[in-house]
Amino acid sequence: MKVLIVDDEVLVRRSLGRALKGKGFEVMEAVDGTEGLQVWKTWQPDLVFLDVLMPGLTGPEVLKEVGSDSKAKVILMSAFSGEHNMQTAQQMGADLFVPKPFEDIFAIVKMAEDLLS
Amino acid sequence: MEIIFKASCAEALALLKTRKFSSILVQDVAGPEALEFLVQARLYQPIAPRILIAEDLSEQEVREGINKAQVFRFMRWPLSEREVWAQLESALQKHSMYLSRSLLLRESSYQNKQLEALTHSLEGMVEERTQYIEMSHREESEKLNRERQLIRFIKDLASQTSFEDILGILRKELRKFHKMGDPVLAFRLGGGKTFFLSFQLGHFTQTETLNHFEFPKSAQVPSAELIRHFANHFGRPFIKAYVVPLELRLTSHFVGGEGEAILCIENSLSDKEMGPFIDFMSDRMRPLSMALDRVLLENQLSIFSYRWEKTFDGMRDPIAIVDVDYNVVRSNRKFTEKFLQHRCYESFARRKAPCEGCPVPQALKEGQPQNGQIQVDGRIYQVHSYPVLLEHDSRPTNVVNQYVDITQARELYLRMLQSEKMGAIGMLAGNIAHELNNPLTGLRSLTQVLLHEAPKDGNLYADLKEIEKATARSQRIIKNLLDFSKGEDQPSEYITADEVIERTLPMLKSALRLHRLEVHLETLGTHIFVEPHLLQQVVFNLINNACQAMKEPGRLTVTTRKDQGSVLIEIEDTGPGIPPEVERRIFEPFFTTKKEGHGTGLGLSMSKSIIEKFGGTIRFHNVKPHGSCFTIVLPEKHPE
Repeated sequence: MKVLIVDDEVLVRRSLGRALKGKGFEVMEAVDGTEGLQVWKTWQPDLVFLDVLMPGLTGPEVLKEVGSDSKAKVILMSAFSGEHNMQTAQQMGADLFVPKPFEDIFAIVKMAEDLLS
Repeated sequence: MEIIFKASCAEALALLKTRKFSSILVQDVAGPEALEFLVQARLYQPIAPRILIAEDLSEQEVREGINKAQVFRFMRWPLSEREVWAQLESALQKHSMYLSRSLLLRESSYQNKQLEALTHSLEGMVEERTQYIEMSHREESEKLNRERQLIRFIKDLASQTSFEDILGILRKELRKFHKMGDPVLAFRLGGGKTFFLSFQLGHFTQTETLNHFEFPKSAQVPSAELIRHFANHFGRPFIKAYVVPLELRLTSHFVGGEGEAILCIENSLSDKEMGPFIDFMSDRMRPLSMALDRVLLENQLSIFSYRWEKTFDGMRDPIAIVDVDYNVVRSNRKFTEKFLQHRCYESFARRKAPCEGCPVPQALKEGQPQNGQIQVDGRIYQVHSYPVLLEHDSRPTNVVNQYVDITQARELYLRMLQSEKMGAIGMLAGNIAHELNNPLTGLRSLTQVLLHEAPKDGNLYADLKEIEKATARSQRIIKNLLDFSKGEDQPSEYITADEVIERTLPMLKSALRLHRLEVHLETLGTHIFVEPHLLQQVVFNLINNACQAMKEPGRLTVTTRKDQGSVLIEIEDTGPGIPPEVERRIFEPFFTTKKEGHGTGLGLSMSKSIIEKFGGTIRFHNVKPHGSCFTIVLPEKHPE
């Protein structure tokens, strides 16, 4: 299973990446929306962790660009919990919404596994 | 001398009638002939003394001779010639005496007559004079009377203050002419309206019309057209009338030169009676004009003044005219209904000295409008002081003060400022939170991953655990900060007071760093229904104030406890406490003891309104030995 992590915060990418790799996932990281969109299109991941606020393209903008071309599941992440929630995330085409900060990284990984199974 | 002899009485008798004699001598022969003659002689020549010569005379004859003929001398015959001459001499003397007496008499009677004539003519003259004097006296007194009446009329008019009284006086005066109608006064003061003052059915009435017609410029029997206007207006015929124009000098000046008036008097006087009436009216025209002018002016002035008064009374703001010594000269109802009139600062602000921020001295000094803000009973007034210049080029001695209550506006403004401040903090906090949350999330997550991989019994694991806890704490602080700085429109929720306090205390670490903090939270599991961020703000405020009140390091105690269906939050410090005069006012808006610029004075009043919004109360008391304690009481409420 291929997982793409799009987040401008390196620690988020590394922690998620290590946790997922530990569970046997194939992981690629993108540092912003533009790069994320490119990787998404070329690499065709099964699951995308997508941050909302990033330099370049934002998460929702990336989702808009991808449109219905992708079959990938999407988990939208945001530290600004006031702005987005599960409902708005699903309206934008995401499957799950995860507010930052995470309480437990392994709970997030569990959610990802559940989503893909 | 001539002596005429006649032989007989008969002969001599004829002579008596034609000539004058100085004396008559009769020699009596016999019989009554001699006496008879002497009687005749006395008749014709009374002043000629008569002498009777007889031979023999009885007493009877002598008596008769004296009585009837007033015989001068009786002589007895014979007698000597000497005797005769002597007697004759005496008779002649007598005669000449008579003669001169009679001349004298005649003269004196003539003179008497002359005197009488003179007296008579004098009397005539006197009478004429008297008549003349009487006549002129009558005229004078008539004139005087007329003038007296006029003076009385003028005096009467001068003391009257209403049209009714003035027209009433004229009406009374006119009665003496009989055949008189009641006077009607018509006047205009610029503008299209003509006013009529009249007695209708004995009642004084004012009416008006918009119909325009010319007022005659001189006293006259009015034109048919004018009569028609009067008749139309009063709805009754006007047969014969006399109109007098009145000059409204003062009123015209006051209303801008357009005041005019006429007096119309109905009458049925004959042409002969008209003369005195016209004189009467022309005498009274000027005093009437002046009196009516005066009353009209007074009316206009009082209407004017009344209108001004009502204008000022109608205003929402208190307004007062104040002199150099701050004495209230005049004020509108809004000012007087609230305050007694002495000095403005005594009555308005109940102070002993002028209010801080009062613009009056500056306005008087500069002669220009000024404004300033004063505080009275917890309300803020914007005072606009407008200098009153009664004379040109002089210094103003009065100002008009308008007191605009800007308490609410100012409160709104400060609340808005507060809310904007909180909004800005919220936005800043949001941004910071986002910026921090990202790396914190990564940090915590990575630590969790590393914890997973590290051997559980090594130092590495313990260190990673500490890092994980620190990141978790940081995240919580950020969350609290976000909650605290949320805007006003957050929903109420069920929460415990303990939790609110626990969330708030970390944000007060710097304020509390000098003091010892004691926390006794005993309401775990007891909920209240509040907007948490607002209650946090209140608690934050109270603790922050308490810390600031303690100049020396002290003890701050925060307690929560349950009390008969209520939750109490007590915040107690060991500062100096609050003096009684301040205590009374601490919950008033804008009341502050902090230095200018170090507080809005809104903190406690806003805290109070927030707590009251949640159905609670906030109160204060000083504690022994020193310090103060604020108590928030909130109703206990549990989710259904």
